[in-house]
Amino acid sequence: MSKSKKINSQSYYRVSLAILKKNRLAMFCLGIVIALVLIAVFAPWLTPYDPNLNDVRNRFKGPSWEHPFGTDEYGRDILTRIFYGCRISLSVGIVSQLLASLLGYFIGVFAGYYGGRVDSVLSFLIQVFSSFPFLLFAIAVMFILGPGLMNLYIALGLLGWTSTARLIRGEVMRLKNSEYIQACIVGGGSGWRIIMKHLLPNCVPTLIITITMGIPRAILSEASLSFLGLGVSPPTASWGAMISHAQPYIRKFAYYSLFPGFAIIICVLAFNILGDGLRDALDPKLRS
Amino acid sequence: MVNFLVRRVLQALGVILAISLITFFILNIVPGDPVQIMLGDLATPETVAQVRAQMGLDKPVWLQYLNWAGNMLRGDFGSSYFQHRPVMELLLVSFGYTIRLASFSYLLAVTIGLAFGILAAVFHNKWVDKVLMVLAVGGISAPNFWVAIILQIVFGLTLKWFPISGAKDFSYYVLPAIALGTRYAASIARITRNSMLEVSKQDYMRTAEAKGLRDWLIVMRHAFRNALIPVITVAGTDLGNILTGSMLIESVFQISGIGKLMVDAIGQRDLPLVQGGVMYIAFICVVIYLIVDILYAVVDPRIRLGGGTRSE
Amino acid sequence: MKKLLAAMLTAVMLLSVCAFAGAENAKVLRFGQMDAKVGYDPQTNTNSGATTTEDCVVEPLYYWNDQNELIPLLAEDFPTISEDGLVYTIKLREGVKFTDGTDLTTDDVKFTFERMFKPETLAKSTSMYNMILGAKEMLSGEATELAGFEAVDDYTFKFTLVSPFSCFHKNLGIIYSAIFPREACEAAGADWGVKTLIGTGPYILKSSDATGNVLVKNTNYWGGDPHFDEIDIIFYDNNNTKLMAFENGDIDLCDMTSDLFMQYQGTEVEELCHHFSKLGTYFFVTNNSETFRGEKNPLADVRVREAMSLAIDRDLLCEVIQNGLAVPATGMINQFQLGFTAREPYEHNLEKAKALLAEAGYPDGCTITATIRKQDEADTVQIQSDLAQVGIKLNIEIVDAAVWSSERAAGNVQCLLQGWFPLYADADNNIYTFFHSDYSPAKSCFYSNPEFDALMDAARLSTDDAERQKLYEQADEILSRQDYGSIPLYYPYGVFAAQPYVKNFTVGNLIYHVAYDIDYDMDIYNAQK
Repeated sequence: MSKSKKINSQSYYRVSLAILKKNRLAMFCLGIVIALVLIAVFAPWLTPYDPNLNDVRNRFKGPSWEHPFGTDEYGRDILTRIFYGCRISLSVGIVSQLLASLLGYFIGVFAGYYGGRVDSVLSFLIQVFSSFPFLLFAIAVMFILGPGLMNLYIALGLLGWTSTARLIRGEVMRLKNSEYIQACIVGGGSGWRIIMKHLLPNCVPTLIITITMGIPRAILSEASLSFLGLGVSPPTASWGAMISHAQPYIRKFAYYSLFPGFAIIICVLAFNILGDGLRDALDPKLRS
Repeated sequence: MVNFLVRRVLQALGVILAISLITFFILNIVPGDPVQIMLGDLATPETVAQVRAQMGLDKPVWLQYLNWAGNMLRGDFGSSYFQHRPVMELLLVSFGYTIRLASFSYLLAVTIGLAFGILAAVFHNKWVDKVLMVLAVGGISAPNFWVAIILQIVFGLTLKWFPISGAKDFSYYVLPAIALGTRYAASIARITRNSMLEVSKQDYMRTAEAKGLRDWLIVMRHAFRNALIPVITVAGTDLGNILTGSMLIESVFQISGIGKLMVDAIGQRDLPLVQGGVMYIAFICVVIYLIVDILYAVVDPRIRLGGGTRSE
Repeated sequence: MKKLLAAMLTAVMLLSVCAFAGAENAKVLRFGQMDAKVGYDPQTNTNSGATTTEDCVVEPLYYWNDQNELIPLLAEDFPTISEDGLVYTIKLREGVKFTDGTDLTTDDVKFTFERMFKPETLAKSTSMYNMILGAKEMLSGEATELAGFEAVDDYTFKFTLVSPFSCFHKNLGIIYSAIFPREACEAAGADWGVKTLIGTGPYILKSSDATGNVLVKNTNYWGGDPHFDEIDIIFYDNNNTKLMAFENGDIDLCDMTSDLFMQYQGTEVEELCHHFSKLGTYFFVTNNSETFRGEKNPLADVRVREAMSLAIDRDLLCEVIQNGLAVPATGMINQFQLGFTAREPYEHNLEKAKALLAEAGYPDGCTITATIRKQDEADTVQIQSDLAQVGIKLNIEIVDAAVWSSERAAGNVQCLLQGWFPLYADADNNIYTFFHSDYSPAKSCFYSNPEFDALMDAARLSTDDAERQKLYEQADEILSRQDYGSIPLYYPYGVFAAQPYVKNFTVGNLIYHVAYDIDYDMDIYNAQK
């Protein structure tokens, strides 16, 4: 039975990919995302400048050949800092969402699979956490943990899991009644085995969608926290922190604020459209 | 239905209780001693200890919680450590600003969102649809504090169309409402478009089309009713964010709303104020969610069986 | 119904026309500043944001004017001090009334100080006045009356101190000891400084909310006719917003920061910006204790601290990061404080710094962590880059003010950057309270040198300013040139933006006096309106 399922799943992803490929806008955004990942990974090789080396005598130089995006208040190359800031934004987005998905998957799957009292308790937990004012909660968590990249991952990961959990719970409740899973249960499979071996592969499309949709949200939250001074520690470059630092100079050196702002928009936009595309491709209900 | 109602109300009360507990204990582990901040640089450790005892902060956390919860049930949220005013008074005043800002933004979001969404659905897969949807996703993608700063400079300072800051009358809310509302306009536009497309595939729509009704009439007669769902959904899921997510906007435009009040209070470690504020916001959210769930249940009886589910 | 509505509309329109006409004739000063959010009781807060409002409403016995001179305010003259320096006899100005109509008498002074020392008041700056006999007993709850206060008659009273303290009457010139009317203050209870604040000052607090405060002229002010009919203090928590409001003409006067000043350099707004010398010093605080978090602390070695001083380019810091709004420091005591003496500038020498580090056993440098507030980020990031050139790796941890003050008070900070300001031009007020070994642990500095302490203590006892000047010179030499107890960086300027018609605006110290000297040049004002 599980063998036939596997074959099915292969064809399912093949169809999904075909649908995605037809969506030119989404493919274009996939291209942007790949480019951003490459920028993040190869940042040191893309630029001759050190992102954190001050050269204050050269500060606030407008865009030029040496500094295409100009320099900031310490004379650091803004383009270089945007490249390095890409690392922060992408890693915050990806790591925090992986964490959130992990948390969301297990809470959702336990609630959906075991049902009954377990479900009541976990659903209640989901409800409690989604009733908290999100940004306020993130601020409190950052205060407790202190500044730093790792703490940003944790703060945003701890907060973003509720929607994943809710979707997975619904998904699992539906799957549980399917012949396939019922057969596994009757066949004497242990709960853990069923959850990891049979339910997980079926939840992967949902997880892919929630991660892709969660990443832009996490990136924007990071920018907000950095704008409040609760993000990464200086001199590390982050797009949100750059906008925050540019604020006093925005009138005279608008480029300093505009470039990181556009960087955020492009990155978030790409993930959002890609997420939409993936949802259209992966959600069988939307297939026509 | 009565059963469902009772269950949901009990659940809501439980959620509020849990939130109060979690907030209280989180605030207790947030580093930064309010007494130290209150007394300042020159206070001796003895004075700090003395004041802490006076304020009851030396007692075990659970006892502090019970005291606080007891007072809250009697309607007493305590007084702000720093502003020395009753928490409830501060919350009500700032909530007035926030509710005005939130309503204006939401009104804006609904108007623009529905218009964009319906247009996009009518011109499905044509260039209008594509442009509008890219615009909508763009609206979700821009950091709102950045949009706020730029709106302030362009339309406030340079063009002088709107006031730069403050909240004296309606004109003061225009720029902040745009900065805040864009996001929700975009969400509503997307959901509207999708739900209308879904509906247009339904049989009764096809029938209507077959009968030769003109496009816009179909839209108005049948699909528009469905447009209310995204409005409710976005209100239901994003209400907490509309109420507190406005804090950066409030800070840029100097509107003394609840988001700004909360951020400042956390910064000062004004525990009664933060605690009271979170409870207040959570209470409003829980009540609205309750209403949304009941509305859904009225619309769609299947939900009653599955317990309250809210789409995200 | 329609008629009623029409009548109401007309009434509203008439009213608004009247209000408008009234506002047009009134002479109003609109001052933009942050909202301190701490109430307006000068005993329970020391926030300079709240002080602006308090300073218009309540008055202390003496007053530091904008030229940094102490002048008698509610006191008729300077105190007569007994031979042993313990008894201060002060005479009140007669005929002064509080704005609620009651007379100012010695009883109000007694009430004010006793209120300050009552433990339940939670007064914040008691350490500036607790040398009065009986103050400590009151603070600990052992006494309910201030033993060191004696009312001679309705207008004469005596303070008796526990030990001589030459700055006592200087401290009486600070708003924290402003005199309250007994009756009104007792009647207001918990609302004092929240909803009510009554004093003898030139303005009356009419309303106060989260958007700002409205102060109206006290027409019976004892000191003559105040310059404005109304002072509006308008809150802007975001400095960028405040400056835009200034450019837009929403406010007449506001303070600004050096980074904001930069965007106006070379524009016409620059002419509206005025800078003044602040009395304090920015310095890099180094934790002098042998170990830090259980490990050997490189900063305990004076050679490391000197090397840091050599590595920091103060000229660059002042010229570029501070946009020229600062002067390189040559010692801890500010150039306009008693105790300052002209010294050679600090040397900037990377080779020498490296040699000193090697001598101290750190040829490859060392790693230290600075815990700072966001406001000090720009300077610290520049210093981080300076120190990197000699191999010192400076990690920066930005925390919020609450964490910062608790961590610092607990001695948990390895190094930090901060400005530290006296309330008036005397080194006792900021240097003693930071570097004396009684105080330095609570600043995470742990500087301790008995010789320095002895000089600072001696200066407290002396009433001769020439002698005190000498003592402070010596003390500063030890602190900032021998021991490098911390590393002085610069003496900052403050900047204000004032519309062209605002005149007589100077700032002497931390407190913004908007109520006294400042006025409008009515010709320019009328021409602009």
